[in-house]
Amino acid sequence: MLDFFQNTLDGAMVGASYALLGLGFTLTFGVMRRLNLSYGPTIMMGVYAGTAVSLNIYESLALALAVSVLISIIVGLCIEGICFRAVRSDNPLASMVSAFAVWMVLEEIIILLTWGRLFPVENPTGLATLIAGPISIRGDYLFLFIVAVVLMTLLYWMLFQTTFGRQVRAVGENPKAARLMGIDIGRVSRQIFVLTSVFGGLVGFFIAASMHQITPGFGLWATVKGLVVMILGGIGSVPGAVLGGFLLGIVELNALWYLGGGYRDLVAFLLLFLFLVVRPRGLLGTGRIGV
Amino acid sequence: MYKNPSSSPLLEIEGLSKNFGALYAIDHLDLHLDSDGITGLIGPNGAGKTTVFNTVTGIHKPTSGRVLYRGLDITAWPAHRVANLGVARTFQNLKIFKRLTVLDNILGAQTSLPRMASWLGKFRGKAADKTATDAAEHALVMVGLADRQGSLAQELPLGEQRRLELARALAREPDLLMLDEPAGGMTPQETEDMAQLIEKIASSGPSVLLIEHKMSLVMSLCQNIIVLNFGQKIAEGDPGVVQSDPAVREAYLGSERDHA
Amino acid sequence: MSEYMVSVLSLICIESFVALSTYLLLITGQISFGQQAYFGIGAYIGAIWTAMLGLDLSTAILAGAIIAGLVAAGVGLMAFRLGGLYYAIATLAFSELVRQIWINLIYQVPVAGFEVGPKGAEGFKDIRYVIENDISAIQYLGLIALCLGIVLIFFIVLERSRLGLSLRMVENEETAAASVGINPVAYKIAAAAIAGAIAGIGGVLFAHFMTFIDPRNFGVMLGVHSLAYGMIGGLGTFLGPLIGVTIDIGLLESLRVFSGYRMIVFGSLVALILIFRPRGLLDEKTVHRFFQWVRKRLDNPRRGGSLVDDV
Repeated sequence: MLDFFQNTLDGAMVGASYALLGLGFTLTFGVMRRLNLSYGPTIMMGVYAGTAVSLNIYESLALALAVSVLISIIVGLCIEGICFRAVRSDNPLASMVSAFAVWMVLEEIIILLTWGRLFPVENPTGLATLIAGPISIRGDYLFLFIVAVVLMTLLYWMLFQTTFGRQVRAVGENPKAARLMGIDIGRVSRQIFVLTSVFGGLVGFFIAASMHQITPGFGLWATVKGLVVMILGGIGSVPGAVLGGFLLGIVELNALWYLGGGYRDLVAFLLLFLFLVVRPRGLLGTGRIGV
Repeated sequence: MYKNPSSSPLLEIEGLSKNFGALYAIDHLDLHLDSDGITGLIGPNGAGKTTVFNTVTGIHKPTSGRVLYRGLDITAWPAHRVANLGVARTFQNLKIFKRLTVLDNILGAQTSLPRMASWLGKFRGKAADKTATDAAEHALVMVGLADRQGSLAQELPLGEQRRLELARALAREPDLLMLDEPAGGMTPQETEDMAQLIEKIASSGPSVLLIEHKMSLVMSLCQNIIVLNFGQKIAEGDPGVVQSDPAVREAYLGSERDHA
Repeated sequence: MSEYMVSVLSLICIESFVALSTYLLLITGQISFGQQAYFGIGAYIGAIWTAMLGLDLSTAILAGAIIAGLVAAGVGLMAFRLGGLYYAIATLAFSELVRQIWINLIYQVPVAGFEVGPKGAEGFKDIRYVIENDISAIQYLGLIALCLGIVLIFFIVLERSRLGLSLRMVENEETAAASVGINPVAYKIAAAAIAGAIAGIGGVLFAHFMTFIDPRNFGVMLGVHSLAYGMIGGLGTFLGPLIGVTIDIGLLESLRVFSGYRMIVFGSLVALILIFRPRGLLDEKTVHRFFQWVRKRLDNPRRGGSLVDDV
């Protein structure tokens, strides 16, 4: 029981970061109606750049984060232009495959630039593990959790309290009506790419820090986690993505503890597959959005 | 194909309801269709006409009620089974096979297409089986698309796409042909041609159930007209009776007031 | 033919099975990220068949095809209701699930003094059927080509048959297909099963070509690559995915000029093609134009496709 509680606590902390990845996917999909498979690699580019600057030029967390966010934004906007704006929107599959193609390019660029080496990412907070009786809280998990919660709160505020947020939600609900109301969908799309790149770059850096390293496989990892969370929560649902993130984190860490390392991903994919077959609309989705 | 020459009406709808969430698109609707010829199904926007079509043809499952075709209970049957009983339809928002040729649109719809097309046949845009191609060409000649059979369906203008969809339904050799706004988006001249076409089709065999907004078309074509409003039948009769019905006038005027 | 040439050709052919498998689903309107699952199932079944059970390769190919096809039919049965994106992600989830099973599957038996069998993440080594039976690389290429030939004949027949037409009708407009008496569910599941079997055959051949397989061979990258092959080659004919494979493996991997930059060149090429031709090089329109042109030549052999008639 205590183990379960400990796992669930760890899972919730990790899950908060998953939730943000899921939000990145669900927001982009809500606005574009097309899937951006390159979201993970976008973040990866940012984190690599941030880490490289911090390792080779000047060691500073703020600088690393700033570079990470900046590069994520640039890559995100390039992807928006190449894979979404330039590709006809009546064929969502073309955009999906195109985003994947760009992903291959990005991954290869990273491998060429780093000779495939992994970069160490130091835990920037230096927080020690907190011990509270029988429960322990890893410092980097706690920090990741706090960052994720702060970002989610900010995101909520943006989505539900600002004009930009109203526009995003209007486009997500009904793109035609939104266009008739005078909303520039192209501009909202670019803004959403910038926004998701910003919080992706930030949370990506702290995820990498909690893993102590970043590898060229990070893009795939982040994309898969984000996709799983989006489906678990329900496509297009913002609170769903948050819930989905926590669910995935908690299930993963319990599987890790009770079944062993090899089963962490197996259980995650089993969960995803079962959800799709039994409840494709996810936890909170309306199930109305197709491709 | 199921045939029952007995006294059962062609189509019977009993207490049929279909709701989407809180919205009742059809509400305890009763309908009988036994006449040959053309029956009109009219009503203001949102009266539930297309929902009736979709529920009968198995695209939507009804919330409650029954649908009988020649006395056979086909309630909630999947669409392909209803189609195989001899019910063919067109769609309000045009569902043609865009990336197939005009001829393939028809051939694929036929009930008796051979399993294989011949080698050379494909090159020449003709199927091996003479009867299948002949039947398809007959349907295309009927709607006036004989010279477009080699084009891709997406290359046709809207009016021709509507006629293609009609030809596809004809190729099924249906007993009941359900047309959902066949003249939608057409010019007056095209509408006139479509009216003549529908008349010609009805005289050649199938019973026609027609949804149409263009009143002149409905009044000139239909022997019998059923009027829906808010998912319920408010009137039925020949064009004269329906036009003078106060409930019908109210429904249409009321809806016009709403639009204004 | 040089040894290198034989190996590149073998790989092109093997990859074609997965690409064709994905293509068959694409022309039924189902986007699959996960055909590598059935490729993997074929590979493991094939390896177990010859290396652990000591049976021969021809029955292994059959077994791989049947088992992969059955599993694919089962998955199709569970997932056919899911449209578009949901189906794509379901296939992705299933394929990763299968790969995780390979990672965790350890079952070895002694064969002639060696421990043989899947050993989790380390993979399945010593699939020595081809070596033990003195099959040369070029002979094995012949076997692969024979199997691929059979699959291609299937596609040639398919594209000329009512079945193929019906599949494309379901892809074009599912509701309308149902309204003309086609049961979309049956066709989707049939397509999924056949596609699974095709990938399964490729898997058996792959395992015996490599002589050792590991779960990384069946990752999501393979699935998305095969999707990309169809998308850039074109969805109008089965030659489309074959062109895609040939461009990627044949041109980019074998031309040394691009060595190290293959992914960058291929990725950019894919992105570029999709901007100008969202349904690939040989899309429905192009294929249709080609047939029209041939038809003109046949109708007017002397004038050779005059511009005057048929306007």
